[in-house]
Amino acid sequence: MAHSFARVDPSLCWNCRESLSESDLCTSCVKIQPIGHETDFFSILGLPVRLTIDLSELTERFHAKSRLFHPDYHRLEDGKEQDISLNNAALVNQAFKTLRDPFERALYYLDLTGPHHSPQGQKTALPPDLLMEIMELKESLEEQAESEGAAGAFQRLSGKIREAEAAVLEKMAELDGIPEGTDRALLLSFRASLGRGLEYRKYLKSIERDLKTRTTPARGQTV
Amino acid sequence: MAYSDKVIDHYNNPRNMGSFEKTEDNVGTGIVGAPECGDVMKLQLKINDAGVIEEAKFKTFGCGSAIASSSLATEWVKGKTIEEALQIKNTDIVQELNLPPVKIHCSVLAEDAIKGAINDYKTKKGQKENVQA
Repeated sequence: MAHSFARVDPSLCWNCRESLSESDLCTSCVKIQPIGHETDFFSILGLPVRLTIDLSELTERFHAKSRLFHPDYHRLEDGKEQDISLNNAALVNQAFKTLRDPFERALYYLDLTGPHHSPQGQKTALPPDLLMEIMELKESLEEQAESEGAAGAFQRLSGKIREAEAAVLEKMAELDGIPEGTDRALLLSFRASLGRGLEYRKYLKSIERDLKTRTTPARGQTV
Repeated sequence: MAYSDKVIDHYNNPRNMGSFEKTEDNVGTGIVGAPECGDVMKLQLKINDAGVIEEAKFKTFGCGSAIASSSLATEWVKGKTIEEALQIKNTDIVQELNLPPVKIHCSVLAEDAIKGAINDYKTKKGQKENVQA
């Protein structure tokens, strides 16, 4: 997006300069207000920064914000407002897409709330034995797909993915449940554990993608 | 993005693909992963008592660059001492294979795998010596 909406004072309306009682809309001149690019996805949709969210609430917020910002509703207004509408609607879409998927949301959350500016960032390396397990799983799935057909291999892998996802969801709820003021080391260990769970799931999903491309019937074999 | 001829060559004719028994005393195993792309690379070294790498094998799940990087790494470490092998830098692999910037992490994976395998070997050896002492 080429436009930047840096305002001198974000607490004032960009149009009439009245002070804003809500961030989306000026109550005096009824102009929509730009969402800053530094605003996080949770705040954009008016949700608390948490790993577990109510999907129906998320959807409701998304619809409300879309009704407010969608460019279709601002077609007849001047250029500046159309720009704000386009910018805001895009951010609202992006926020909704990211937060709707629990695993995308967890990655985003760890990134947003994590210790920044560290060279290692949020990288949580899986221990070698787990990597070995992933490698062996992939090999055995490929053998299975080869010898008895892909259906069984997919079924086995889907079971693994379901288990991994259930474990991640559990870790997300656990991390939300940690009271404020808890020992930092403990908090970090929960975060690292969630990061590893997400990483493990990612590997399984990439095995799934590989298996799909591999087992797409390429030859017109007749048995 | 086009792969260089060298990457394609290693991809089509990977050198030293396979496994050693990881429990063997003279085998060091390094296994590393890159979750961004789902690559997993396993590199194994058979090291003699003089500290020379006699054989190397790899198994890699990943893109062409990851396979080529590990294949090249096994070629390079063979006949080298542990110390010499530790000198191999990912930038050497990048240069040799002419890897584009988006594939540099594949070469990092290969360097890490070499280091991991040597560490594993050293740990095994240390433990054995401790038991004997």
